[in-house]
Amino acid sequence: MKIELSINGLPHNLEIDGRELLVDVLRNQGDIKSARTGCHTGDCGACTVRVDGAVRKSCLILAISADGVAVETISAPNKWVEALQRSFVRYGGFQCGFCTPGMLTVAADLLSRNSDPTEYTIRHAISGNLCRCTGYDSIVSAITEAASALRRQEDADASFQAKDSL
Amino acid sequence: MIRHPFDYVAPKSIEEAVRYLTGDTVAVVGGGTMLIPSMSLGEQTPTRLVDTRHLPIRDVQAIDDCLHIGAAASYDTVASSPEAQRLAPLLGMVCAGVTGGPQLTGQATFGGSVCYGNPASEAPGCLIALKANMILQSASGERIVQADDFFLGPFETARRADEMLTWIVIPSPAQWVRTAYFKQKHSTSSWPIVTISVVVDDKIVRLVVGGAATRPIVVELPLAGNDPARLGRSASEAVADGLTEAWSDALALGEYRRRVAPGLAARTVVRALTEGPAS
Repeated sequence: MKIELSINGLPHNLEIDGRELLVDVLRNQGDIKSARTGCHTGDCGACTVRVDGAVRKSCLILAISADGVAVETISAPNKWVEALQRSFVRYGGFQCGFCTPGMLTVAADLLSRNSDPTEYTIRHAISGNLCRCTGYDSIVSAITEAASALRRQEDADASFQAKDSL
Repeated sequence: MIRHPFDYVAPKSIEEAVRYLTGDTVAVVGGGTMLIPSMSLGEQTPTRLVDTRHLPIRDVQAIDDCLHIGAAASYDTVASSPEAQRLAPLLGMVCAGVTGGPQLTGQATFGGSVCYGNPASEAPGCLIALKANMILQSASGERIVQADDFFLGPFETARRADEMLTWIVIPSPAQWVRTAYFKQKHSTSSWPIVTISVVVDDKIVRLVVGGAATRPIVVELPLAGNDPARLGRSASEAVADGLTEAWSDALALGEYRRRVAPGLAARTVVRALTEGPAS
């Protein structure tokens, strides 16, 4: 059977088996390797991507059910993902890296809606993503720092524009 | 990838959808957050899936102060609905504790949880407390079942194989002036072992214990006197009496639930009477 969906802005017409999950189709036909299957039960969150603007676990969605949706992954240019990638490196927010795309995806989603999240809010945002390596604290620190860096950049941009308009 | 073959349909109307409900091997998909993984693991093998993604049952409405929750409305939709917050704050308390992250609360549905009927879940207890009505549609028409009568046992509900849940309707709850909810669990992200839903009006305390027994336990006590502790003790005794068939699963044995449920009921009743939000 056929489905149409967009992946990072590019339309795809795909021939699929009705039993495939969205994560299968993204990996095998969409050449998206950042979404992984860690559990197949919806617990680990390594399959997390954005579907029609909302974070979703792609192992919980049938590919056939994703006909017509827009999928975004961390491969798409995104200032929140980029800020987070820098801070994850700086704060040791990953070791093996398996959970990392999922963590970046939910963290970017949070920061795009909340530029100054509390620690509690950050921990809630990543509560659907399991990490076996870091113990989570460095991930929380990295997200906190990325939020702070983005706010400084916003302030700098705003002040630069203000000067420009004089 | 799922191994067994199945039909898949995504109807655009309820009238179309109910015609596909031809037997008990047909599964209706809400969010799919329980069904899809169980199919991935080969635990459930429906022959046909009826996807609700295009059906107009995904929102929350207030009609004459009754709250109408679409069976395919996600926990996030319910939690962020001002009508739900105003008319049934208990629902928001339940949604706030649903685990699995924002990915899950945006996809999983109250309606799906209701139809799944897992004793270790939160929807049954809170909907019974709120005296919700389940609106079921089939090709032969509409049937309404009260929440009290809907949950028959573990993974067994009053929904017939040719029916689908379309709306959960909570009758005008202007009466419930105080509310409290408690979810006993192993850790922040575990499923519930025991749930206690308490609603109070000017005459009675109504509490429902979910998860402890094979069916939720309903207790109503007259609101006499101004002694929350005494009411808590009465609640505790009533729950202990009603807990004849304790539920055991991988989270906790029945003996544990039998031990903790009465005390949790007492504490939650006291909290409702002394701190519970007034709507």
